[in-house]
Amino acid sequence: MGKEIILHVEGLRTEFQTERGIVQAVNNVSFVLHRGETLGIVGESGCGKSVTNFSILKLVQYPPGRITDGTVLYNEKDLLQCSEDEIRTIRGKHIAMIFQDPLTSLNPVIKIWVQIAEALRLHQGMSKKDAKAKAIELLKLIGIPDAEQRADNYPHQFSGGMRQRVMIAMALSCNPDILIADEPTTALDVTIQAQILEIIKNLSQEHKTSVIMITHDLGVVAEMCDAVCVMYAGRIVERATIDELFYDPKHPYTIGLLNSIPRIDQDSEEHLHSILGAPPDLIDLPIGCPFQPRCTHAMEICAYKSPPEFSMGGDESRTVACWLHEKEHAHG
Amino acid sequence: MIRYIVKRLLSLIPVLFGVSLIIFFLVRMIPGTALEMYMGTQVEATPEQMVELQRIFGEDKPVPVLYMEWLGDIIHGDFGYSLRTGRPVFPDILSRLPLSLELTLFSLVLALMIGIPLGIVSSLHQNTFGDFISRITGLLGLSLPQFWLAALMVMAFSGFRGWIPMGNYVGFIVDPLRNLKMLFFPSLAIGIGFAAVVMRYTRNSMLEVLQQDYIRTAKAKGLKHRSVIYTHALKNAILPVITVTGFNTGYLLGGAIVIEEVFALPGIGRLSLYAIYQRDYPIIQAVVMIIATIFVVVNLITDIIYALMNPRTRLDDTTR
Repeated sequence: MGKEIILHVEGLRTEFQTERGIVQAVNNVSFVLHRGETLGIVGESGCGKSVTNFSILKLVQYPPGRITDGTVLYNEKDLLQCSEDEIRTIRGKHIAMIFQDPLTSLNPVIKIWVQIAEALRLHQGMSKKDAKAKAIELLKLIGIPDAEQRADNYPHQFSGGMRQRVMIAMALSCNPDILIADEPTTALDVTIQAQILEIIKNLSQEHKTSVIMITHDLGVVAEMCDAVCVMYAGRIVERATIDELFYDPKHPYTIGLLNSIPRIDQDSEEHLHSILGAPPDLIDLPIGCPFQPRCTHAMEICAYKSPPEFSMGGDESRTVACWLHEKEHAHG
Repeated sequence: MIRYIVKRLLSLIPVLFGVSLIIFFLVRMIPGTALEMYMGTQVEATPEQMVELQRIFGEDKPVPVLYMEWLGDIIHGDFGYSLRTGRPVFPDILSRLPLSLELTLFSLVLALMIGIPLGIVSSLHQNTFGDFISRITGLLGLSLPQFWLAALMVMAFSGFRGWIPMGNYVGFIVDPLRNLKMLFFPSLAIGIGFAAVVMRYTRNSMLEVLQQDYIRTAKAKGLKHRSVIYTHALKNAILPVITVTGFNTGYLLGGAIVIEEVFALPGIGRLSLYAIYQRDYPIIQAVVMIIATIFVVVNLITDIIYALMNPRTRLDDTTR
């Protein structure tokens, strides 16, 4: 894997204005994505992983959402400074997205092939006829039987798995550099999940597409990702390679997540592990470490001072935001 | 599709039967019979003359018997004769129907042309000054009574300004421009209330649709704002507007009946109004039957348009 950086997110902050106050959904998030790499972003619901990725393409709806700080460098261009017209030429062409719920994410009154062909006509200037042929070709590629006939169907005539395939075909139609997959398998049956992941994996490898895989499912991470960022309450609390994450997790939250995976060899009398407590209220965050109220290792300092990201062994791609690991950082 | 249309057209039969029953007995509940209206208070007649007149006016038999006779006649396409003029009812109605239908259609088109764009603009600039103004306008349009608006228009735009041509009505085929000039303000008076309804439906529907995931998908594809709004959002947002339009076309036709009187237009509205004054039962009955038919057919057309616009409704579904 080459180490060429294709996307560099730095200090991203996104907030939402609500009636109760300002919600800091994304709080100083930074990460890099390398060419051909699959990066996992893991965390509980509401930890800001989706908003982070909507922010990259400026798809956060304003109002109530607002990106307040940060840079997103793609091809040496800061996407956050782009005008609407400029970013439109990036969306779908260079950076494409797949969403969580394939039923609500497809337009119910527009034919399947038209929805796939839209991006082709827009970004590659294809004629209607060529775009339709290409759309059918893409449908075949992702394994839709009778693609010629099914292309004229509407989304409600497709099954959940097929709809998500259509989303993938749509996203990959213009051979984007980056694919952002926002919980692509969450709404699907387990048997279909594996197929969808397989398709994303194969196609991204074939076209050297970098993937940002947003998920709460560590199984998906193990299956798909090269590197992982663990998010909690709008921040990245740990970043690691896939092996480091599973064999040497550092942050108590990551450890809690890993322990929460039920094991087949577990004694059935035993309770399932879970992290005690609930995610914090993003409007009223604790002063110190946001995980401190739920943390079994909490120390005095955790309550009043938020930990920075400590890099382990001076490696910027291996960090932990936890006071427990301050020393490892200092001694390198 | 054909099967569905045939089925819906067959459902016209019970509807029309019910309407015929109600209207026949209802008009006879208005105090004063056709004969009494005809005689007035000053005319004297001998008992023999009265018996003869009762026979002519169809007041010599019990109402249920009259109903059966009338039903038998209209099944054969015979709507009877006017009690006042003695002329056959059907040709008279037929000559006046095009005006009323044109008025309805014109007001419908005006309402949609005003309501849909205002609704879209309003939804895209939610809670701004423009949205505020169009919502207030919409509320005004809803609350102003048609006949009052119509009377105001007559006062303001006819006479010396001549915006509403005076004199005899000319058909569309004879002189389209003059015809449209004559019907513009009446149509506006009828349609403005409905325009407000359309505007509010469009606005609410757009606001809801714009929150949907597929709008985000469309944006993520890099589509232009225009395509997102007009291709992706409007195609979905227009569906409830179609439904409400279908229901309201019947009311627009009802509105036409009142407004014809204000603008002195010779449509079926004026015809039936005078028929009611004079208890000219055959005319009233025929007009109501025809309006009921139009209402059902318009709703059928609406449903077909809806199905064509919304692939999720399948008309051939056997479970329907």
